[in-house]
Amino acid sequence: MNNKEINSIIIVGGGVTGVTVASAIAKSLPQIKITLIGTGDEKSEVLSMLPQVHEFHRQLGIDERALMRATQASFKLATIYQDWNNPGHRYTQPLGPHGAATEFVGFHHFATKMHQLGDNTAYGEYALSAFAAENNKFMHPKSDPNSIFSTMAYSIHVDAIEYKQYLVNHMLQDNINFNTESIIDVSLDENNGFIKSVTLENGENLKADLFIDCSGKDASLIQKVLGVSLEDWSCWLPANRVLSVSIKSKGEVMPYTQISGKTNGWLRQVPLLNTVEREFVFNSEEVSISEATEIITTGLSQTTFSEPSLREIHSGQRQQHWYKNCIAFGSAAVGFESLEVSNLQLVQLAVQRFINLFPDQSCNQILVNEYNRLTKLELDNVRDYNILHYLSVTKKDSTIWNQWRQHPLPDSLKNKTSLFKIHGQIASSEQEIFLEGSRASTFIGLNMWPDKYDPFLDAFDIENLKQRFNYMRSAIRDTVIKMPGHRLYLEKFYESNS
Amino acid sequence: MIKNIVIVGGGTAGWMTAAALSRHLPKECNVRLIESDQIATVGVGEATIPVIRTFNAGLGIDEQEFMRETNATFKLGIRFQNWGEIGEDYYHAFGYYGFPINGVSFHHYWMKMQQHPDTGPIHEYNMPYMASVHDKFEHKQFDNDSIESRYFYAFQFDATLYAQYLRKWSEARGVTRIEGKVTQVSQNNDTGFIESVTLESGECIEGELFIDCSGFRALLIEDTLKVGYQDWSHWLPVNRAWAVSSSYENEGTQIPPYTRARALTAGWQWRIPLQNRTGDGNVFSEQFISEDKALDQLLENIEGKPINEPRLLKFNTGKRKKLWHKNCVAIGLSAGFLEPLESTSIALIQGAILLFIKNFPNKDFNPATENEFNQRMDIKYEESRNFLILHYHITRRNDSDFWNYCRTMKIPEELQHRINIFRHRGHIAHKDSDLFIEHSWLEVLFGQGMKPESYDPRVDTVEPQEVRRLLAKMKMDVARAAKSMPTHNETLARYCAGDLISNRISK
Repeated sequence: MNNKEINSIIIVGGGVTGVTVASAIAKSLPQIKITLIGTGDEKSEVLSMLPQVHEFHRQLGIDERALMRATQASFKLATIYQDWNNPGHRYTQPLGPHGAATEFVGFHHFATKMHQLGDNTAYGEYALSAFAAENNKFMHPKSDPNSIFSTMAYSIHVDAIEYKQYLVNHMLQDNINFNTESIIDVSLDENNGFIKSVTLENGENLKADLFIDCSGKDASLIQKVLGVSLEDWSCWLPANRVLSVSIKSKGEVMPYTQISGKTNGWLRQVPLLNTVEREFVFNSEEVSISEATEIITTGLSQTTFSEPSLREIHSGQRQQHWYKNCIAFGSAAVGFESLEVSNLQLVQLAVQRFINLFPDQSCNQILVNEYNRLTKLELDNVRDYNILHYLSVTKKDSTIWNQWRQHPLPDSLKNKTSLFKIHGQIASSEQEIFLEGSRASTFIGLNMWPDKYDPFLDAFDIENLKQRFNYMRSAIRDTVIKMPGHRLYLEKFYESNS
Repeated sequence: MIKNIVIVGGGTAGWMTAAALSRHLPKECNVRLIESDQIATVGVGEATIPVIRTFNAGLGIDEQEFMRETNATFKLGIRFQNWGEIGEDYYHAFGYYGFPINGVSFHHYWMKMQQHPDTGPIHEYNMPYMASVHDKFEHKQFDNDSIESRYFYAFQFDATLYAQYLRKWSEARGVTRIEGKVTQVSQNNDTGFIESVTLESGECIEGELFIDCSGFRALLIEDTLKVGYQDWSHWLPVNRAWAVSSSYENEGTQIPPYTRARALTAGWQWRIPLQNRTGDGNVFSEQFISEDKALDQLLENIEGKPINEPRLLKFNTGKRKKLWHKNCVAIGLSAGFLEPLESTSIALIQGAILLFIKNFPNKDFNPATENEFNQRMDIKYEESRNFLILHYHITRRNDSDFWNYCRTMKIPEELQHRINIFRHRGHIAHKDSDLFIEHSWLEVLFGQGMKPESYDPRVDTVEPQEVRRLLAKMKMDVARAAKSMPTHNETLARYCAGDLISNRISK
């Protein structure tokens, strides 16, 4: 009412990050004039999302079926890890929950007890999403709490460039200007150090109230102009390159992302309807491009895959994500390897948070602090979650698997792992992306079983517990047998008009 | 697993703990509670917040039976008088202001439209607020998201009777009550763990885990384990309370479905209505008013006749530096004291019990488990403390040294951040918490007259005409729903009143 509201925004970077941010702001604040500068020079990437994507689409009014059909996307029920801790190790991390929880005791405590009693069943057999994924089956969940399908959760695999194009076509029609010129100069306000305007190659000078840096790892505004540096994570997470190819595929469509450990890096496969994206994640000092190329193309015939494309990761997060009148999203804000969380997922969460705290032209420091506080908490959790995946790996011969041993772990991660180790407790922390059950399932998948289960479980009769576990497993099996195959379901889903 | 648990002290904290442990622990566990009939319990917190219902439901307690046995009434909120300024009046009601529109909280729209003559005060959009104003109460008729269903309730009850009720309940489920006073505590020479307590009678009670519910005396956690106390009285300077019970003035008096907190010159006075009497108390700071004057104030401000001798309680606001130390956990007043302004005392007891059960230790008492519990409890206490400080600090009163002190004191940084963020844009800073929802903060901030400088800019994307239409409908729905409810007295008489009360109410 007193200060002036924001009327114009310049977003630097027209890639999928910039377009996602523009779409969300344009939907919530259509009165604001948005200019997107720069072409999307993003490298090919397939996004493997979490179920939070549904809420983002709902808020933007996006029809997910239409989006999936237009982009030839696929469903995702889980991530399957192969040869991770050591060759032969395998586990499934589902998007939905395991088993049934009781009031105080998480299901993983029951599983721990059964494990100690000698039950070697894979933990994934107690989760419908996991077991369906392993069998290439898919169906939408049901909300009826009495149906076993209420224990399913899913998300999508979608090509980043197609996704961006869909948003451009459906979300960014009126109040957005696209400008493909590049920026040659940025001028600051002498009084408060705010960004005032950018000058383009053609001489044009563009002013705005707020500047959003979606320029990728170059961070051309937040770092190069405003000097906000990166808090480096590479001492724990040394992967800095991703080489990817797109492979034609006509067979079964995996309803999961697959991650396979290799000697000096890991391979990730993300399926779409008619292609599979294969990526190799590694450290450039350890693996050459030609070695990486060989790893991703092993077993493929020349005609079936695209030209490999390389992208860089700068592992770490911005010291401040929002500084003065500039806010960074995507790789300009944070860099990390995509194990369970993709960078665009974080962009979607962050832009909603930003809109909830939307400033006026003064960019009041109070809002800035609140945004930075919440964002940092969230990203610290993502960092911890990624480092966690390396702690159980027994391959000794490569930096990427062992780098974390050289440095003390973050205190927050130490606390999380020791609490789980003692008796399966999940440390409570703010701004977690994953529910407690998912975090427990990661520990168990990585074979980091707790020493003890919750003492309350001794009240349960063992025979009865065994019966219940057998029942659960067979109910999940019987259900999955009747489910349709993923490809069949997808094709029908795309054909139907309902 | 730990099989031998000793609770020292009965009262609300002791019996709530005993009940929850006997409900959730395996049968082989032996839970014993030591209390003495000679030691009176404090029982300040007779009013509760809605989470109490989760606790009772967890035990499987029948609401009607429990209310009848504890002379309980329903509580839709707290009425604050003279807090913003003398003569002002608002309720912290357990509900919401209206509905969000396009994902943006209602109050932002109200802020934009408040100058329009049809808009009216913000509380007219809050269902339990309007029901409270008219002394109405009824359970939700529909469990849906309609405006009629957007409220919660708690209870006002006789804490002594509640403890008795839970005692019966716990004893029936195997808890052993031991009558006696603890005179000696023995610790292990090496570890400092508590091994046993000795009673006046000479009886020695051994245990693996001790729960200190000994109230202000903090017999185990402080006298024995000396964990230390964190004093918060510079932020919350009240340190005395006179408490008395009084009768209802007339037969048939409407029993309000809320607790009243009336600000006085050096503190405030509670009035907690039960079925058969009211509990009244003056909470004050003896640095700003003498005990005698405070007693006079109390008696001037009660409506019926006192039915017992006023009792004086002394306290220092704050909390133990550690609630869990070695093999001892403090629950209730032994853990800390926060004045009953927002009825947090029973909620904190409940929070501690449930968190403790979730983090139930093994015999090795791993320090990581203890740390996790202590950290979570610190957050709960600090959040409650900050919420209390808010009431005192954002006053405009300048009629006494007490209020001048509170208005101008330096407050905790986190609270200052919350106030700043509200003042700037009307937002409530996000926090994963379970005691007070965003809306509770809004009610106190708006109720005490704080006005944000601007509202969420997304509000301007909705046509003003459409906003006016939606506001008018919400206001009308709230008024209609509140009006159609039966009175609190009618609901009590039908639902849970003992014979005596039924007669009095129906007259």
